[in-house]
Amino acid sequence: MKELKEKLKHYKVLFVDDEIEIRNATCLFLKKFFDTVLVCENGEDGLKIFKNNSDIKIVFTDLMMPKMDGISMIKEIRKISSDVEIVVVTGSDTQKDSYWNEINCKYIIKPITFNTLIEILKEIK
Amino acid sequence: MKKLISIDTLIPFLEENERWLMYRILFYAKKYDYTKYTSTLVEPWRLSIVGLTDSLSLLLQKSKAIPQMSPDETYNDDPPSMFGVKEAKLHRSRGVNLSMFFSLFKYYRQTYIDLLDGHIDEIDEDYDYICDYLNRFFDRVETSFVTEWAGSSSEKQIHELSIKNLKLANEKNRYLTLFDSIDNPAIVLNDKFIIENCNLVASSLFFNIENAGSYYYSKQEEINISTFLDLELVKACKQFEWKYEDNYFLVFPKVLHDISGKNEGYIILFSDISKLKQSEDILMAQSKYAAMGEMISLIAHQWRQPVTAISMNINNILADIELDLLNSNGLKENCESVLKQTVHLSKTIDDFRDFFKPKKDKEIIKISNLLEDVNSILGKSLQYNNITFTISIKDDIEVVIYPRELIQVILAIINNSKEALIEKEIGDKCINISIIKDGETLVIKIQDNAGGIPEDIMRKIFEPYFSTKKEKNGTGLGLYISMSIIKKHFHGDILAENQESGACFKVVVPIEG
Repeated sequence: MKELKEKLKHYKVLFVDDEIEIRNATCLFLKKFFDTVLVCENGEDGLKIFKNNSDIKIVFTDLMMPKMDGISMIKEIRKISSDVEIVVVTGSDTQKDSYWNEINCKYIIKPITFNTLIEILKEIK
Repeated sequence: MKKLISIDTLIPFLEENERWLMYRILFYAKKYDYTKYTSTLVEPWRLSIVGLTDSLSLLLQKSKAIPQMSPDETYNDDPPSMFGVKEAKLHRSRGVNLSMFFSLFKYYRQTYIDLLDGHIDEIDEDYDYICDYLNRFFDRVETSFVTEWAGSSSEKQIHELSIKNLKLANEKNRYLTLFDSIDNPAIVLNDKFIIENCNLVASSLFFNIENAGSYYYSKQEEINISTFLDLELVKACKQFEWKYEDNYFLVFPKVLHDISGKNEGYIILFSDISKLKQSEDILMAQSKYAAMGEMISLIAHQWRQPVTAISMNINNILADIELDLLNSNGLKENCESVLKQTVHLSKTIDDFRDFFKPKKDKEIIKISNLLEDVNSILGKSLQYNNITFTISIKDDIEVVIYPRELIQVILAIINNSKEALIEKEIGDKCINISIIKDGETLVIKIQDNAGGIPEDIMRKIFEPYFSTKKEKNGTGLGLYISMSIIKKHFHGDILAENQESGACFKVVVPIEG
């Protein structure tokens, strides 16, 4: 686990979710592994932050959010960068795997177990 | 102003005033007790006036000279005499005696004179002539029927009476047959609300009597209808719903038609609506299940976030363990967050449980609290779909109302708006709810900007099983049930109309507040 932290700590990560409690708790988690965690509450702000921080390595995002939803934000981000890692944190699994593969995203389903999170973090290249 | 009437305009004038004449003679008949023996319905009275006016008209067509009388006449071949003879035979056979008939006839004459008095000035030159003509006409009618009466032998009269008596007995039998042939239960009450007669269906349903006519011929005791029905409802309502054993009836009480006042009372008809009621119950149950399904999906929505937050708090603790970062401050922070989320989870469940708890009584509730409940159930789902939900309350008063039912209706309407906004992919989605107190009613207006309801389906939206939604979402019961809740529980109404940018539903309910 400590090695994982060593591997990830220099990466800049963006987390987008409209729920304050989830934002706070997840931010706390991510900060244990990453030195720089940027947080915001909707897709519109997420896109702005991404545009201003070209060195963001990973984006974690919720889907259902006010102003701009997660999918719209991902499509905009993909126009800018095809290789940024995007992890969708979703409440439902109505989309098929192929859909997420197509837009080159990983996805995890809420509520998130510890092992799932660690697996996702391990997959980051 | 009095009108000038000449002998030429007399008949049209009498015909125009047929109803007046009818009610005038009825007035005399009631005042001097003739109605004890006369017809109970309006039509025979009207026909008596028509008969008199018609024979006067025939007489006038023959001659406008005053129809004086003379000692050698037979009084049987001119129009007034023919009318008099016919009426004499008819009434004698019904058991009317001469003095009764003759004296009532004096009031017929008075009735016609009263009408003229009200319309012709006595100084009018035609007045005396018309009065003389009318008086001689009535004299001729009277002379003819008195002559007819006097000329008939007592044997003939007895014969006539016995034939008529048989006919009358058959009339009664016919009444009983007609009454017993009615397929719906029917009960006749007297003026003291005692059951006078029950038709066959009613007797078998309420008294286990299976033979036609049994109630009429062998009723034992006086039964007041109040032992079955609420008297106040019988007196005040045109119709009301009534449950008897396992059956539901619509009850139609009707005051007996009798202008003579002899037969005061009611006839009560019953219509069995049990099957209708049963299908309505099924509809209600279906809609309740549909509403529950929607609720459960809303609960899932509202639970997902706190459950996710809890799982992240736990993940934090686990990560701290793995990374040797565990300290009491961090642990405390995570535990407190978990507790906070559990309170939230618990409150969500309470909100929904309250909604489904059956409550039969009205409650005092502030309008703002009512809308807070709506918001706590649906707010999140609207927020996720980027729908701006605005609430405007003009007077935040307290009302005495069935809050659960009203919330159910508001939710159903908002839910329709929500789905229309999503389906039509409207840009700035808005739902607006406003509540105002208008006199003794509460008006809840729900508007959206989803483009409105197509005019061709507008009149169908409150029908059961009508849905415009895609199969998985619509049961087609939301608005139907809403309407029946508002009509039956609140005695109110729901009105739907299209406005500039979308649909507008107005829920109008009377309030005590």
